[in-house]
Amino acid sequence: METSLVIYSIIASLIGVFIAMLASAIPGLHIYNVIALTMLLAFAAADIFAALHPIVLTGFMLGMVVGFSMLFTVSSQYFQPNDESFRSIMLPHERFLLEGRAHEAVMLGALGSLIAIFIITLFFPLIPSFFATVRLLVQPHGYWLVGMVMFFILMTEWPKDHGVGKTGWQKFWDGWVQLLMGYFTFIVAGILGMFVFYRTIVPVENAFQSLMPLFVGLFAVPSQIMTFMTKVKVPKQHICESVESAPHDVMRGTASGFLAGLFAALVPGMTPGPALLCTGHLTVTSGERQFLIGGGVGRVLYYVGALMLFFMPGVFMRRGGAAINISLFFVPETPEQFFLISGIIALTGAVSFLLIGWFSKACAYLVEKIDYNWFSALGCVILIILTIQITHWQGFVLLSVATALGLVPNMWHSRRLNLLAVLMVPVSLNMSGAGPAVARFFGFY
Amino acid sequence: MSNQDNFEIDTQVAAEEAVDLNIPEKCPSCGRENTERRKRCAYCCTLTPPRERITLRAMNLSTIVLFIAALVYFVIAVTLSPQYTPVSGLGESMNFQHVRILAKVRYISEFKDKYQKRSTIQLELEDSKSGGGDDYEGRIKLKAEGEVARELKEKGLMPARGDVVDVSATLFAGKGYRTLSLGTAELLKVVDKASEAAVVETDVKSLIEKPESFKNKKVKIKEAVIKAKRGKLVLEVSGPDDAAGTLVIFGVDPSGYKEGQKISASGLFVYYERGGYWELKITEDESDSIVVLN
Repeated sequence: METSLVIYSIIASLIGVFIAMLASAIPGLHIYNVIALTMLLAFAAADIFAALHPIVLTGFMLGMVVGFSMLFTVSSQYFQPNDESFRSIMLPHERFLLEGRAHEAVMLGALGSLIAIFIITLFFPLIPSFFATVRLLVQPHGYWLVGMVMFFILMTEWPKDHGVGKTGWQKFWDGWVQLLMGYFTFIVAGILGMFVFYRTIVPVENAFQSLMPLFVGLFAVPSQIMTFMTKVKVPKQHICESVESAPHDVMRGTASGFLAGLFAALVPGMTPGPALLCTGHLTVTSGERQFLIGGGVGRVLYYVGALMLFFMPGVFMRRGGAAINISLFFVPETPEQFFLISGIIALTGAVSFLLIGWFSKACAYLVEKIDYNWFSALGCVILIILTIQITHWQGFVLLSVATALGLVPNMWHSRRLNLLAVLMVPVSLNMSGAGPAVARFFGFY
Repeated sequence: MSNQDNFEIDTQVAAEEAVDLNIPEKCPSCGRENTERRKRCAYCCTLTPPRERITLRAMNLSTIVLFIAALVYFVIAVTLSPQYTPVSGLGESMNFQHVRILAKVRYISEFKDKYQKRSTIQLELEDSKSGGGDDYEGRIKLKAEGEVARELKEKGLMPARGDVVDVSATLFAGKGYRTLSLGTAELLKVVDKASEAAVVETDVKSLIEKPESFKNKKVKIKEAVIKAKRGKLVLEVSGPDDAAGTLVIFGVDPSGYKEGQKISASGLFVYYERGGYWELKITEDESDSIVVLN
């Protein structure tokens, strides 16, 4: 491979990290939304992008994915607090923020991300045949694996609280509402997913982004709305120089995150959230630190590890939005490209990690000076504009429906994990071959 | 011993332990006061002794390993010698595999689909080290279709006949067929350009008398006379003095020529094993290969 091509790819990947950092400042914005916008720009300015070698553009995309997968939780950590009324669904992130330890939470997640980058760049290249074999083994069993995960999610939604109320009916309702709303969310999200998979209303020229309004509506916009409703004063944040992390915390967090990341990377329809729920039980993970480290490992392995499998000789597995978008203009084929990609991941991973500390300090400063609601408002507006720009008014309709559904878990304190049925149900049904029959039953096909 | 005494002893032990463990006066996690130097912060419950914690500086330093790994990978990417598969080794067992070959371009053709929209460029390649001739095992067709074909032409990446090319492509091989499919235009690179100087000017006599010295070379016969026309693709020519015998020129439609006509011809000089004779091979796209002299 020409040295100039390697240098251009490195520069492009570092620009990608920089753009990812800017995008990460907006809570709720997902990297795939930014990539979708980049693809639209690439189509609009085809002449300019055609002048770039595909691998240079790939380096740029890779920089964005690596940078974003490591940085995007930082702004959410600082700018999306929840108050006491949402304690039951609060993740450790919010607790750390309210205790003035957001920087520590960020750095624990970053530690997990760093471990994942080490695994991906130093360990993955040694075992391509392992991934090729696992891929062959998993491929015919994907549908029931996802099915079992869905079953597990539904099982673990079982009432965790006793009912409170004056009358027997009130106690009954209070005890069961969380479960019912969880199941309601799961079923409706599944039907919505089937609708989008079989009869999306997104215009055909932008159909490659038909899931975007769903994810923005189900997850990002409700989070911003809940932040608006939250009345909490964020305390002054302490910038720590070290984090508490016993070896067993690191080991257990890494084990759960590693398994979850691999599971999500290898099985279609799987994302790190449900995968972590399963592997957390498997590895008997407990405590906030293990959760944060595991989340960091799983997240990066899913976004970056899955993308690396796309370039791995003998595997060439196309999983995740980034790989799908890159495959529109680049087909990886040679070992030199794989080594270049591995180098870019190592470099951008290291640079992104070094940026996390600075980025977190900047966010800690900003959350003291500026009301976090402004960030939520900005994020919400950008997300809606992006969705309309990419998927037109039809996408906005989908986004509105998804937002209404996305608010249900927040209002009734059930888990947001159920919303992922939007992806798991159609993917599992389609892999099993039952998808068309179910879609026909609902009149979508 | 009274309870008060016990308490004093415990406090003293705790104070000594605090010094040993180097516990700071402020919680390193939340920053609140820890004047009693407790092992766990009274506010956020985190462990305060430095040995229970990982410093951010240590984490930052560990990225050096990643920078070194990145450098190593970049060096490998630049210096890695490509592993070429010989064309004769591309078999059924490698179906759907991405392969990389180093080959010489024998022929180039282009055709469009029945709607005249989607074009396909087809290259016949042979092992760069192959002796050419009729070594069919050492040849394979490479197809660049649609967008890839367009890019090959627009980006000026099209090779010429005789060029040695480095190709990374997907192999489709089954019983009785094998083809390579090019995924992106950039994966076809010319590594050795065939120069015009490679064409050897000679005459019919030299070709007939010393065929081995012209084997698989592109030759140009300055002057020859058409002696006979055979079938749809063969011309038989001799030298102007008609002394050394006749030579077969294959690949030309004889209907456009007359017996006795003087021509100049250029093409690939190969040994046709099945027929057991030497011939000058010309392809359809070489329209200027035969020039009528009278």
